[in-house]
Amino acid sequence: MSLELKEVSISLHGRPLVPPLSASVGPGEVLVLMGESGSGKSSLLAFLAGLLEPPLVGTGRVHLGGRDITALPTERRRVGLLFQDDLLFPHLSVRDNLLFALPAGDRTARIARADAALQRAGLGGYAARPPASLSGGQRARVSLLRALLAEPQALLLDEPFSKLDAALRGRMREFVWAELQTQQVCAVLVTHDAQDVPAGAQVIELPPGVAVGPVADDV
Amino acid sequence: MTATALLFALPLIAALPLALSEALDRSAWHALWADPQLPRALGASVFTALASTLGAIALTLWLVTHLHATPAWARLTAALGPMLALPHAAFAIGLAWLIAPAGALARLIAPLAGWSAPPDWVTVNDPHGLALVAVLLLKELPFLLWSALALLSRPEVAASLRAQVALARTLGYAPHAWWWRVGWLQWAPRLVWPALAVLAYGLTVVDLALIVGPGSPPTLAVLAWQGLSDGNVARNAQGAAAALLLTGVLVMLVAAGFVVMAGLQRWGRRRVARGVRGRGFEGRRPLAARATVGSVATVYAGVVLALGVLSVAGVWTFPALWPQGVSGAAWAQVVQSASTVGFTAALAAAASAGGVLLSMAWLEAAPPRWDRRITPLVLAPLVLPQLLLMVGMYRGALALQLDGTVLGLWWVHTLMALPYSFTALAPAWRSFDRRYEWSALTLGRRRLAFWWRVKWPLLSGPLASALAIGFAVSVAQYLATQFIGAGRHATLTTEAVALASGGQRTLAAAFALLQALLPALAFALAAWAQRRPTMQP
Repeated sequence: MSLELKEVSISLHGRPLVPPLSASVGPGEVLVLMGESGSGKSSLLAFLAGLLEPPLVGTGRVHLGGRDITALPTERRRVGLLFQDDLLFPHLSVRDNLLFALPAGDRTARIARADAALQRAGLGGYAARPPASLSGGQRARVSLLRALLAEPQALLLDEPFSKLDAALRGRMREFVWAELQTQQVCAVLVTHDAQDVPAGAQVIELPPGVAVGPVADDV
Repeated sequence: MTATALLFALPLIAALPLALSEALDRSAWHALWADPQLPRALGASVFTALASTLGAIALTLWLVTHLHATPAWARLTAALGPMLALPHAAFAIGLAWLIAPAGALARLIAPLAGWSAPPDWVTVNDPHGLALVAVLLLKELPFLLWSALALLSRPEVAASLRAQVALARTLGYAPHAWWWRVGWLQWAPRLVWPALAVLAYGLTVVDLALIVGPGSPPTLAVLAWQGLSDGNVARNAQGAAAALLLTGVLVMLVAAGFVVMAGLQRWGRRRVARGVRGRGFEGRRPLAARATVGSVATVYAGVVLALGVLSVAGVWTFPALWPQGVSGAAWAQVVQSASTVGFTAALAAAASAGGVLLSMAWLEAAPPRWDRRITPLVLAPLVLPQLLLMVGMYRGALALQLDGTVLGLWWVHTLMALPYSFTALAPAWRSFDRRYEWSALTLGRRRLAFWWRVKWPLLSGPLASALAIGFAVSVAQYLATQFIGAGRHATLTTEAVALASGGQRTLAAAFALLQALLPALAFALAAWAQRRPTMQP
């Protein structure tokens, strides 16, 4: 499935923040958005996920696998989102976090699928553990697994490596790119760090925008 | 959303004009001015409200100054919960027995003083209202301390406070000197609303004034209430005029309070300019502060003990410290009134559920623009004189034919519980990380699934607290129950107040104990809900 952005732009109080942008990302490929703080990178991701809120306004169309998802509610877009923080639900076990994401179906089969994913990520013994008992790197991996187990057709990555230490960041990057390749999911990555950019990725440098604080920075 | 906003706002918006329409009657004002009881009743109201409010404010500032960031602070904050949970009326009934001429304190000192009969003192229902001042002061002190604690525990305030105290110490100021010279200049204005709520409550309280307040004449709030509950329309209008007069007095006192506060701020800034450092923290003042907290806690424990003993006392002659016989007569009568207990609990559960559901609906769905405008209205019952509010609400209930109905009672109890439920829920709800919701939505789950599986479990603590607080507020309602219930529905509070003001000590104590036990049970359930096993590392 490929993700297509057609003349997508973001404005704030009627003033352009992100100029019209068109791009296409194929299965297993990564589109990288770079730019200064306040350039609208995260707002663009929010628009793609259907989470953009006033006073920010997005225009243009977004197609995923040939269908127009621009007007679809977030939960029906099949677009995953990873933040800087893992945002694992702290009151659920690692396995229950994954089960929350898995599509509905036979309970035993779902548990087996979640456990298999954990096994593959080297986290086999952690299924019943609370997220808080895992290291930062382990939590980041569980967070990615959770996003992928929802079977998204595209994954949006909002600086997912920025809070990891240098050694862990390298390993996590390899883990993420390998998973995307395996599952043939296209991705849009927002980053400040050129080292995050995978080989062969398309890179779009956004021009400086209007600094709008946490809405644009954190979404 | 509009329906939720109307449920929040309409009763309050409608209540005040309705109350005013009744109170703005020329002949009612003539009758009020002609009432020979007015000057002393008004004087007693102003004195009791001002003395208790100023006393509670002064003690709060002093205790925080000397105990904050000390080991005693943690003990104080732990003691606040049980103190707050004890209903006002139950506390007044217990304290009245402690300080009565034939009460526990007199019996304690009787052997030393050589008393064989109760001293000829008027310590309860005294003409100056000193007993009412004591009850109000002791009952509002924990509320103000809790408000200060809530403010000082906010992450941004706590961090700033720590840094400022550390900096002040490096500049040679003792922590208490920093509080008086800098700290309170910053934070005291943020405690204006709780202080205003205390003043409004003290000025217009009826149930406590009936139990321990002056009798002849009573406070103006009681006079107003007597007029409003009279069958005569002219007396009703006079009562409404008295309620409006009390509101006017409240407005004047608040205006004067702001002037005094501005003056104190200027004086405080001048003291800063003098640069006096103050003595070190190790002095007698922290010891005195700890002793004060200990004394207040002892009074609360004594009140609960007094209620317990009194409720089972049989023959108990003066100056015996303990009853000569135990009697289950009071509790037998309580058992016969099981329907009152059940009705009180059911009404409180329904009102607290209503308050929490309305708060959740509002917090979940209100656009920020509406939130800013409507929130002050939701919180208005905390600072508006209840007497005037009830006059208006009663008129509203009459128009909707809800007076005397269970639905009407539920509605007014919900509105009274709402500001407390809202205050308990809003900080946690507003600081909830919205990215959890975005994560859930991008995982393909609907909002309902997110609320049910993630948000409500994560907010179960504040939700349980809000339910317990709403429950306690409903149980304690006196005026609302009397007015909207039109005297047709008895609750533990109305029974306890009626029995206490009628001098039936043991039965009043049993009802007061039950009135205290119900909210305590709700708070215990809330604490249990918050301690359920969760995913801990």
